[in-house]
Amino acid sequence: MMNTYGTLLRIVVLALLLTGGWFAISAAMYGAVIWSAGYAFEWTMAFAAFAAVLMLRMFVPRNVFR
Amino acid sequence: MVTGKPGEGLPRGEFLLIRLLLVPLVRTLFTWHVAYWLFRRECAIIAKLAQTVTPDNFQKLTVIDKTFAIEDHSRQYSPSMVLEHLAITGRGVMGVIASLSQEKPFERPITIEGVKPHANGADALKDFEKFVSEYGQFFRNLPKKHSKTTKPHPWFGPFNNFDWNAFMYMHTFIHRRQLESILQTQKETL
Repeated sequence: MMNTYGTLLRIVVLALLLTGGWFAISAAMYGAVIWSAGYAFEWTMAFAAFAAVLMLRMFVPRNVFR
Repeated sequence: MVTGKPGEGLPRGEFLLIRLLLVPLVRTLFTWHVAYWLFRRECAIIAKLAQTVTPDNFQKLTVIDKTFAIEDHSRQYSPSMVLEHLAITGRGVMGVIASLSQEKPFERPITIEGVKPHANGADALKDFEKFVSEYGQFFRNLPKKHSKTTKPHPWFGPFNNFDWNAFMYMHTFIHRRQLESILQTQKETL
């Protein structure tokens, strides 16, 4: 059972690392656009950009749930 | 005691967790290169583990407790059989990815029984390392474009070429955990 728990823990850690990576990429892209346009960086908008990227990846190029 | 038959499948809860949560999660979070990098990492870990096994234990069938995403029939493998299975499956998946990437259906049936190890040979590590090198070459030349054509995994439904590439990592990782359990059990029964 310990092996199973270890496997699941590794899966969770990997999912968190990758999610963090996608957040960093989304926030960087948002930041680049915002700063080049001369606006201030807002964390709520950075999270919104991240959510949009995730939603896009869930349905483009295809529905991940099918 | 191992009583399961090949291809019987996973407990319902594990199957649903993988099918409904992990597969969509992998599809969302992985890229072609993330999956390949993780796959190479797993192969390096497995090769390192296999090198620590004594010749006596390398081909010794060892019954382990159930590990995640491994069916009951696979609980009595030797380290050699784990490596053999990874090479058999991996080469099969390469053929699937190649076909799907050309938008050609892969006609041959894929079965769990068809990728079970049988040889339990002393040279399984050498062949595994050869397969890893083959896959590296294959991946570098592969056009990284999602196919519309799919080939179903026997348990988890229709996979396109991207899914099969990500499967290479997940499958290798699951069997690395199986190998760790085998080595731990062999150590405990010394």
